[in-house]
Amino acid sequence: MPILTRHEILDRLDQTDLRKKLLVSPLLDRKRQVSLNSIDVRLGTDFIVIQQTNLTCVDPAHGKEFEQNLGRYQERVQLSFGEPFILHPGQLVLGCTLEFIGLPEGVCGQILGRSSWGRLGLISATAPFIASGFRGVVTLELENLGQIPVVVYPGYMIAQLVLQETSGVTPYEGKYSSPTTVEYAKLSAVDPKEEIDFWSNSESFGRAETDPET
Amino acid sequence: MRARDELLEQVIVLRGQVLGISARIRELRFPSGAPVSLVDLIERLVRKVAGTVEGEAANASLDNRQFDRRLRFAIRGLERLAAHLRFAERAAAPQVQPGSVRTLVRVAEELFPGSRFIFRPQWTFNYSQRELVSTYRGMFVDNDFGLLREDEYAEIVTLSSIRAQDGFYVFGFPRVEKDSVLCHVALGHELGHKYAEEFLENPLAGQFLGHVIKQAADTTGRTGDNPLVEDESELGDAGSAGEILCSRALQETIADLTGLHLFGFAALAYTARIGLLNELDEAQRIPATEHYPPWRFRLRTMIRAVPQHWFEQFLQLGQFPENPKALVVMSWKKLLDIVEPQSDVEGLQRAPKLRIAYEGLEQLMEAAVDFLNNELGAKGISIDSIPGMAHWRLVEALLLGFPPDRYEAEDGEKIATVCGILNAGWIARSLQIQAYLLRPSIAQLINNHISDRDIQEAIANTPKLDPESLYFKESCYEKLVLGLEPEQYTCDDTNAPQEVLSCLSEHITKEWISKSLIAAEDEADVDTRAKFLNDDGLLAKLELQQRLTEKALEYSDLWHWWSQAKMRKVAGKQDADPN
Repeated sequence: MPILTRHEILDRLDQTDLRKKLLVSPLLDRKRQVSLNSIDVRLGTDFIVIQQTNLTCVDPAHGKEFEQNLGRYQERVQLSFGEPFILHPGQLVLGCTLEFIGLPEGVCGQILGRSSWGRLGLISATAPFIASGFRGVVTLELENLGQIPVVVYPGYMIAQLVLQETSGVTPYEGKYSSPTTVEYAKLSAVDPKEEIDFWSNSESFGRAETDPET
Repeated sequence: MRARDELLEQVIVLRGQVLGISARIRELRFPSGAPVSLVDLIERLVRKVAGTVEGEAANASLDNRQFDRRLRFAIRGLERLAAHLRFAERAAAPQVQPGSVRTLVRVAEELFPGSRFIFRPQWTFNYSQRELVSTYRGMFVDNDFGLLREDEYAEIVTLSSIRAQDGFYVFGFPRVEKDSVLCHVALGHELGHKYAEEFLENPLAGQFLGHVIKQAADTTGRTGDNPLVEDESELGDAGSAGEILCSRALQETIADLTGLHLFGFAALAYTARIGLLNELDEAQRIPATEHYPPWRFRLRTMIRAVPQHWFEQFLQLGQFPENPKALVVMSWKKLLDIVEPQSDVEGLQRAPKLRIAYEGLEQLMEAAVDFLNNELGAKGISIDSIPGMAHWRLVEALLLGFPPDRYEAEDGEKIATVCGILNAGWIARSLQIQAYLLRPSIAQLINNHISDRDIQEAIANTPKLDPESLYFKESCYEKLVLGLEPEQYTCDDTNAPQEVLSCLSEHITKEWISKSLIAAEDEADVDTRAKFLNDDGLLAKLELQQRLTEKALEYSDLWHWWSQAKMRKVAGKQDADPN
């Protein structure tokens, strides 16, 4: 599917019908932020830092229990503009875009890192796909792959939103409904328990079929 | 150990504790600089007061009882200062919504330049305001002990980046409302108390007030030149009435009208919301709010103050489409229905002192409204601007799941004002509740912008309900949103089970459901009912709208900051350009 170009992005940003509009708010510096094939997005002020000392592991099979104790495992940090956030080597934190993004139906997107940051070792999205119809601020998985700490500040243009048209139109059915701040994984919605049960159950594995001799 | 030594030790310990706690508070993040200024002020006062009494102790004779009393008084002052550190601590970023607080502080500072403001949550369910510069002056300067001289106090205040003449205000809001950003329109009312105080300090207002009370006293056979300063016991009801008039009736009414000037429909909707949560006709309730005007009275006074036909203008300027317009009109008519009965006035008439006070209020209102119009008019705020505060595009943004921070107008894109955002929030909320009360499917139709015919059909097919029961159900919703226990609701019509269910929320515990609402129902059915409510999700929608409104306020603050920064940048370049 084609990637939207600057001209097409601007057309969609200027659409007055909110249901068809590509909404990126606040687009503080439209001239600088809308580039040839993407929109540069800024780092927001909210972060989630995982408290490693309180957590032995994350087991999606026990997602509900994890979420019930989320307060113990995560620290929410809110910075002011101009305040630094130091990302140490190997550290993963969750940040979010400053902009609230609304993708119209028929347009999906990907959040990708910007090369200048990438060369410092900072990657800003490990799960970059955004479904069409999504509304909300986008959670960024920030990780420093380099060997020296990297300082980021809220407001920095840290990632880029690449937009693509979809071949058909389907309403958004994601589990992250209009988030206005950074959100931790909804592990209970992942719910792989059923699958784990299936795979660990020898009967359901279809022994009868695979071993007809017995 | 001698008694005095013990007292001196208490002073030293208190000083150490205050300075220790304040150092920790400084490490917190705040949405504005005011909390740190308060910490500064408290630290300086503590050091100065403690240092003063320590110095005096060295020279005071042991049998000087007056000095011991002075020492105890100082300790009480230090204890109060220590307790006030909580105002700063509670104003830190995790305790409040920084974006909306910054925006509201900006509104307050534009209204009262030079004054400083703190917003902090409090446990009591009340919005409150207090001014600290005069409070501390009363504690340490203007009293028999005079622990500090006026010049010393003035120096401390100035060094803490506070302008004594403009004041330092602490606004409290109920902690339970922390995430209810729409309720922050109460700020307009609280700021109004500052105007009310100014009005009452005005000599002309004082004379007029005296005259009104004298009139009332004469008609009831009492005498007295100025009932406000004379011995109240001699004046009986008239004297008490004067106090009520000054302390509550006039203060609250002026404050309400200020809120109306600042936030328009949002202030009305908020007042109605709180009124419905309380008793509409009672003037006296719990001791803390004794003699507050009845909520019905307050609402009526606000509605009377808005210009005629403002509501029609409001809908025209906002270019509301027909269907949502029908629901907003319905919401407005409900407000008018609430204020129509005179049951509140009848209640006031029955208590002699309240009757005198509220009759006096009628006479004073004209002067108060003129005063307010002059004060706010000088800042470019007029009651005539209320209709222009809301814009349909902002409401539409909220209904579609976007923050209402900007909109397309005929002459290009506009950044929404704080008023515009809060009004959009209240209108979207009213729409949702009205639609939901009529029939849940209508809310869905509105959200999805499905054809006009469908909505008209849905409205036409909805059975008509008694307006009083609609108020009641709305108040049930409000109680649930606040996490309070709803009252028992019964309905005779055939839709009763569903109507009762519509008053429930996911916040309701099973215990509440079984105890107060569906006691006679099968316990096993509770889960099914709770699931039905969660699936229906009105409260989830209202919560989402709160979050989006909050986000819009944050963005509004950001846009403001961005444009200011750009202006400074341009100005800097111009300054630097020698040509």
